[in-house]
Amino acid sequence: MYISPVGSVGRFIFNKRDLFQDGRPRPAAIGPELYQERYETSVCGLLNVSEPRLQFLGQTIRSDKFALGLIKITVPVILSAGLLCEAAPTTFPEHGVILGWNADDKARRMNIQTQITSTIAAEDVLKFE
Amino acid sequence: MSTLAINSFSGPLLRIGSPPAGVAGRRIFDKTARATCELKMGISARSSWIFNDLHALAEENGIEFRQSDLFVLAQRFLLSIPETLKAPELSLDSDGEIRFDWHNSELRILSVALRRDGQLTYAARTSICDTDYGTKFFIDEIPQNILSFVRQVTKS
Repeated sequence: MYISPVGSVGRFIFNKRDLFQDGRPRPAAIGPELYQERYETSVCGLLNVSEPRLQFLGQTIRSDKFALGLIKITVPVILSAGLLCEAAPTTFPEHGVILGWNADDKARRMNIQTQITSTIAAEDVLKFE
Repeated sequence: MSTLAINSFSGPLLRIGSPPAGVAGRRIFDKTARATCELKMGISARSSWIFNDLHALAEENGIEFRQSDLFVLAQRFLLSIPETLKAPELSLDSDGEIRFDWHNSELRILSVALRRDGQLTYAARTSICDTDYGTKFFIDEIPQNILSFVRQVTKS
């Protein structure tokens, strides 16, 4: 509903070190975390989601921190890297996950992070005021 | 001592920390931010800034620098980078490894993660068609292929 195979998803960032000094995202910013024995990257569907709603989510999804911004990643880029992007409306309706990360090889995961982030410009990072 | 250590008032997100008053103030702030950014991006390895940044990274994560084998190893890693090369940008991975990233404006990226035992996991994208990834070990010297990737990724 919020994730389209031809649209984009957003990755909230909570740490200024997730961006290079020129504002482009660093590879680790989209890195997956081990959750219930599989690696996944939490994202937010962006289809029909307003900017105020994104700001609200950025301020509420983590109890300890406010999001500094959101990296827009196009779903076709995710799919062409051999990953999947699925809706996972658990914590909030727009929530999704990037799946398909290699579980045994960090180098392969980093390679995909590098491939994906190399397609993202500084302008694709929405900064919250 | 004057340093360029990263803090919450620098970097691309600096407007969040201290909004300037008025149009002129914002313009001066933007110009200062841009100049600082250019200075940091062109900074060479072995400069005091990168070591200060490593200490800042430890502090941000509540790690006592001298008590951490990994951070002491990371300091040795940074000291091993020839001073003619550019300094990386630093962060801490969710698995506790220290990440060193280099990039340039032409979308070339090298990402290296250092583990406590010296294992280096890397991924490089040196052109649209050329990527490489794998693992090496850091034992007093940085492996030549990683230094070669740094040169390829940071060349203008």
